[in-house]
Amino acid sequence: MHSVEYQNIKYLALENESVLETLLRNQIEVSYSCQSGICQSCILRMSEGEIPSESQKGLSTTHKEEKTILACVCKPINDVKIEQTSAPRKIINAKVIFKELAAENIVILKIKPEENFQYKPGQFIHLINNNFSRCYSLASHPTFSNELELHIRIAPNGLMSNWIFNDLKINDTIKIAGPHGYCYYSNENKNQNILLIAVGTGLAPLKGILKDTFFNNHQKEIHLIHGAIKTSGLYLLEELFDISALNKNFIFHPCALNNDDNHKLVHNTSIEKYIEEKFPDLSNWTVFICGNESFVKETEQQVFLQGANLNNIYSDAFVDRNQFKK
Amino acid sequence: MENIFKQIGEDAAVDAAVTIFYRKILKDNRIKHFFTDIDMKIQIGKQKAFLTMLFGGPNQYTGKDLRSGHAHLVKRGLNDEHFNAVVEHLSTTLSELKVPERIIEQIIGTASAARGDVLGRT
Repeated sequence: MHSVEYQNIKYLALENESVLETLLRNQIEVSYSCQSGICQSCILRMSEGEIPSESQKGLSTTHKEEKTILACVCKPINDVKIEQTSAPRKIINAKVIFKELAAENIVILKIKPEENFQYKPGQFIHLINNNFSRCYSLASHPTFSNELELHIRIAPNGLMSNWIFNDLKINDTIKIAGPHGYCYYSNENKNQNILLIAVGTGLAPLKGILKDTFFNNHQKEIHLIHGAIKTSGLYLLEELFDISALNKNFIFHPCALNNDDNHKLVHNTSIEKYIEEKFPDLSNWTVFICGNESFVKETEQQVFLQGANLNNIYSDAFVDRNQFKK
Repeated sequence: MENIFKQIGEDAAVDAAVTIFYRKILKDNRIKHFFTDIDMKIQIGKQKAFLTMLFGGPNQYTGKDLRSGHAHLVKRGLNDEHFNAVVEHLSTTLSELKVPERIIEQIIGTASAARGDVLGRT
């Protein structure tokens, strides 16, 4: 018989019992619904142990790579360790290397971890300052640099972002943990056109993913739409045009609702309309969407209605903590 | 009830059905406002669980889940008209997937039985 370890306690799995059944039998509260490996309510992570292939049926490639399982159809083959997908990872120190204001309210921060730190471009990490932590996506690529690049929007009343903006200095040490997240490029996407859609600092993970498509020598088309309210908020405009000039299959589409700089190459339109007009049929596309939560939700539905397959829609929504404050 | 789930191709059928079904719902002006402000992937997970139950697959979806899961929508005005629209989309989805008429009737019968729970009736 095998053991199932969860939150530092080992439980004995009965014969032919799923991980979910073992946990429920021991009065552990985990979410679940269909109990047939379909609804994905009971997604957990198997950090140790051999993952039975049927327990990953229907999961995206990136979920599989992150060792997630459907607990209801996962019958352990050996002793396993199970955790929530959001369970905290090891905390390590990183040194601040670079800090610069990229737009009115956006800081680009580069930090260097003091020990080996593995991640996929597009994943996110926790920044930790004493008693609070916030998530930020990685714009860097581990093959090209040992520094982590983060794009930080200075939120009004944002504890972390204002601390970074006002107090954090070059050579300071900051604590980080991670990585987390499933929004990244994988070999599964190799034969499809790629559409990257970001608003605001949602550009950070997509910049990481863009680098990864180049690193993987992606042959099909790659398009990046970056939207902001004002042209001045398109904070990597020149850099992305330069990258686009160097890569034949990459096209950059900047969009601003208010083209305040009258930039000739910026489209004066909403992203919604732009996608509708320029990408009417997304049935053979892989789409990555990052930005604030409502934008991500709406755009996911839009690309789904324009034909994108559910398994080919990757997204990461940035949640604004302040909106939950009473 | 005979096992429709196995007959129409198990998970693959549920995946195909939910994609068509959900696109129809999101395009329907009568009901789409109930769906536009929620997380699409979580919602699709629930739809899959529900369809699996309708198709007679292994499932624990209960009337209580349906009742508590829709209570906030009933407060927002969810009524028979909306319920009928969803059933209509389910029916055309299954027709498009060439599910035999006899089986569609059976599935729609099971779905219709959920009306009271979904609309929070006593």
